[in-house]
Amino acid sequence: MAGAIAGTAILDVPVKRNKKDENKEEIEAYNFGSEQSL
Amino acid sequence: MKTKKKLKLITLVVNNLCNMNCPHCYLQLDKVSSDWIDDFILNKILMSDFEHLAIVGKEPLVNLDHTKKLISLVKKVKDSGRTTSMITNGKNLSLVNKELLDNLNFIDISFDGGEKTYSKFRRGNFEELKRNIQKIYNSGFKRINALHSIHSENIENIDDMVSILEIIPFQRIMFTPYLVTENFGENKVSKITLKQLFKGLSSSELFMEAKQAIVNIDSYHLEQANMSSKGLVQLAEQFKLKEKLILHDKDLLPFGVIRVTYEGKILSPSQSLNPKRYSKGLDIKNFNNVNEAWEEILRTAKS
Repeated sequence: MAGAIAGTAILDVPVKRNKKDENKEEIEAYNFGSEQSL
Repeated sequence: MKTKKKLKLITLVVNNLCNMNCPHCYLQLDKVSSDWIDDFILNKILMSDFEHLAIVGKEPLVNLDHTKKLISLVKKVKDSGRTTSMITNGKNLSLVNKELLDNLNFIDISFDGGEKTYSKFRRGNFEELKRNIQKIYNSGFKRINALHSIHSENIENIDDMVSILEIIPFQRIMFTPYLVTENFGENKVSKITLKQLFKGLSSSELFMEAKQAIVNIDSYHLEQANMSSKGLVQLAEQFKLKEKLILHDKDLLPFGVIRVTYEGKILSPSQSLNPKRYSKGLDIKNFNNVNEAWEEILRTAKS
């Protein structure tokens, strides 16, 4: 559980995934709302 | 062009002492020690190339001696151009002074309950906690977040957990479902399903209305629930929680997240959730810095 791993610091770790239509990594769309800047 | 991978976040266990005995605690290690993390380990961390140091346990403010050492560490990290945060149970927030606040980027306080239910799980004094948080906030330090770990014993208390916004306007109230972990203690709570979690959260008007209230799900939750990220997002949509969801659906290791323990073990995020696997971690003394160990763990994970 990321909350236990790092607390809210985890909110600044973007998750990327390979999109099928683009051969490059993009910021994961589900990673909403992270406004906290480290 | 291949870009060099960056170590983003080191999560650091600075000691193995705590002044609470929470029923869901995962960070129950195999022996008790009153030691603060050795300077040799801290120097290796300071020599590493990373962005942020999150001090996560066991309890950095457990006593005055450790608090003084914490202040020294946080100052060194700031002086070297990096940022720090800490997770605390808040019991000894009265030990927090201006020097610590001047050097710390934000504080996460573990609650798992609100005014009505806090003492049931954490056996702490809610009024004292409230006063100490307000004192820090009123001194000008506004970057304070709240953490709630949700399990079988507190899923009914979501309203109470959000009502802590009456203490101060926390920047974030992050809800995370409890995971079953391999540790050396006993956990007296049970995990709930992600559906039960979403149902509980969406039933709380306070949760739905509070813009600071979010739910964080990661790949380790998905793994235990045997659920895909797509299935999770559909579930979130079903409960109108998509806007509240922060989903890390991949293992955090390749994104530059790693743990260092007070004994000098270097662990992947997955290992760090399971203290019974700590002995299998790499030993920091065999590396010049944490970056080298991270790259070694990445290589091992790929092979």
